[in-house]
Amino acid sequence: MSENAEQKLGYRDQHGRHRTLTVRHGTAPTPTGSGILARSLTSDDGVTVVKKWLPADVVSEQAWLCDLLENEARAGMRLAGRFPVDYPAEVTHLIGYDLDGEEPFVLLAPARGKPLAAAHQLLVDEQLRFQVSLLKGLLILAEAGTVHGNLSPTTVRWDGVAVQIGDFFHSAAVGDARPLRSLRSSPMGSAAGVRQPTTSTVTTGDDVWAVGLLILHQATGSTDHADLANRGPALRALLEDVFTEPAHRRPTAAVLLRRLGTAPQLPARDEHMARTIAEGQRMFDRVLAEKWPTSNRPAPPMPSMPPSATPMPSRPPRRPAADRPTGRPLPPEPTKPASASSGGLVTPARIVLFLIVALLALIVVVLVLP
Amino acid sequence: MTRPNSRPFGPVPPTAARTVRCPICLDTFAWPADGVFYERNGAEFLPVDLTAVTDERKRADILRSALLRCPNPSKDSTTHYLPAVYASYAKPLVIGMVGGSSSGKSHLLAAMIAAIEAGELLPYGLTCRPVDFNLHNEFLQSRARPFTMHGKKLEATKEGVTSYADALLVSSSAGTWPVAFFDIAGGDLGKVGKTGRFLAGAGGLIFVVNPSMALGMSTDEDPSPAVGGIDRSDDAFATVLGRLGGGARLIDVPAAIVLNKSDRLRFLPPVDSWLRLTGTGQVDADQIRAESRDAYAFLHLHNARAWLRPFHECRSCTLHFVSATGAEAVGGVFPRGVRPRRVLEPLIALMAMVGIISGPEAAEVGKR
Repeated sequence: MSENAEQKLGYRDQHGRHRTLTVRHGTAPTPTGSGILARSLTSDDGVTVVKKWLPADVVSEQAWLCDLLENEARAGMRLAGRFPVDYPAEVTHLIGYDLDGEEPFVLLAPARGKPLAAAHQLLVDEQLRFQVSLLKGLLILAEAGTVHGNLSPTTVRWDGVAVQIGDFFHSAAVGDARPLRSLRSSPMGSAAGVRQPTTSTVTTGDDVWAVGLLILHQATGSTDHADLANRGPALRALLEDVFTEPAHRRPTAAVLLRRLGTAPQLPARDEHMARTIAEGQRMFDRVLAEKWPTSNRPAPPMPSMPPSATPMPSRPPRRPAADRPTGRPLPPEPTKPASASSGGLVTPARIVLFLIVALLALIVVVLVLP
Repeated sequence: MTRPNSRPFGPVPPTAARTVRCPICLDTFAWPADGVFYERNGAEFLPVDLTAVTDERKRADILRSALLRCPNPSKDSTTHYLPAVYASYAKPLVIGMVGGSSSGKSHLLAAMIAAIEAGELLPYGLTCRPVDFNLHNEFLQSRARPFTMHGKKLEATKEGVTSYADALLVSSSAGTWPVAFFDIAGGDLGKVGKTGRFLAGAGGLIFVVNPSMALGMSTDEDPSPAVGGIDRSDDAFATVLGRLGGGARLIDVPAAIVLNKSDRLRFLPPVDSWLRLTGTGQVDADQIRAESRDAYAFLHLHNARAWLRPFHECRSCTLHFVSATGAEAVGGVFPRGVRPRRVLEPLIALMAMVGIISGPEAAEVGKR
């Protein structure tokens, strides 16, 4: 596309619906890494979007790169679903996507600020603002059930007021099977669960390590977390247990924010949607029970849904098939009321009964014997 | 000579008279022990002369692809044929694909057959062979492979076709069943005519939901039928359910509701998580129930209740997120190729519900 050629972009929006955007003005493509190109496009009515795409020749030669754009779209959809109104500034905003054509692409709202890698050293009075904003971003990701997977000075931006987390190319949903071979070896990009995959599924704790490194780096200029003990008490207190294995033992974003004395309020979830889904679940359960009233197998407990863009009721198994135990857990034994006739357990009632019998026997013996 | 437990050279037509229901005309008739068999020659059917074939192996090989002309005692159908081995095994299972035009039934069936051909049912202890070699090869060449190997969008199913699209012999530890797949044009399913007659003999139904109609999630090549709103009913579903059950409150034909084209929904929870799951090789009734519950709630959330009718009206029914293509077609092709997702899950659930896959876990599928 020349800089002023008209182009119609057909795409799906955050609700999965088909849309068309006519754009005219465009900046020159710039590489974002992994073969993905980016450019700004502006429509006649002044709307500017950022298009990130894979050229057709790259797609044909390295089809797996499409997964990176799929991840970007999936994370954006989860965030948009969780925050349909009052979309938070701390994460990039997905406008739409078309990943099925010859040149798959995503459309994003323009990013704010500069990547941390290109930003100036934060001033002392900026440090707290940065930390709070970054941790709020982490909280937002957890709320959407998304793990970024590559938080680094190139994927986190700062405009002096708030961070903006972008480039969700390596993201996953909480509960996804952990990829066997994952990510980069960039200086900052060692989201720990990947380094020592002690859990088989992705957890919100995976991003905590990288966030800790970013905070450490902005405060000290170093990423040597082993040296944390020699840092100031405030930083030590904030980052306590952040560089811990396994990932799920690390403090959550909410805990870290409390350590900073703050608890940001996030927009409420869509209660109407949650109610409608719960209503659908109840209908399913009721109809099934009506159709099979004599089935003697209890309904399996549905695992609770982790935070996600759309609070659906149950989830597929979180572990990959290979990790799942081959046997099924046995259904719980029906509970039996404790009684003197039931065998096995020594209960207080049994002890009392035994004492009474023994006492009666003793009385009989005393009375009968001369 | 009848050798029920010893078939070194493949099945042979039963020599003892056995009553069979033709899935095409629905007539029942006594399977002739020494009937005249035919073979396909293009569009023609020519008699096979077996009188001089005394070698048992050769005879079995010929009969594998031979056909018997259905006597159609009620004389209400055009000439049609059944595989010679149709009556050689357990009661045949007829599976019908149900859905409106553009619901993706044909793509789904093509993706299913291609996945079966690729051995994806083997981990479940199921082996599959063609019932009618010529028909199966024709299906692979004209439907499955152009779609799955070359990324070509299939043409709509022709109206007026009354026969099955393909048939397989499916063997498990519980036995061997001929399984015939009917893929009737969506327009025909919405009418009460001969073309949908197979439904009365169906042993399993796959109801295919089109998100364009049910959810309003359309594309340029698959537009929503109503402008300014969504058609809140499905003629094919309604007609098929109306033809079954004979007035009983619950229909005793196992069914699976497939939310097809789920690639359009692949970034919406919980569809995103389900579509990423791959088959485990084990039937897991709890997992099938969890997916069914999610799919039910998802359709309920989008006010697509008309597409939930099979769950309410069929005693055993599961729901599944499926994508036969994995992507949208652009100009009649799939530029990035075809990437089917979870196309065999509905079939596995059906096979568990009808008993082809046996065992205590399979027996719970579709129930509590």
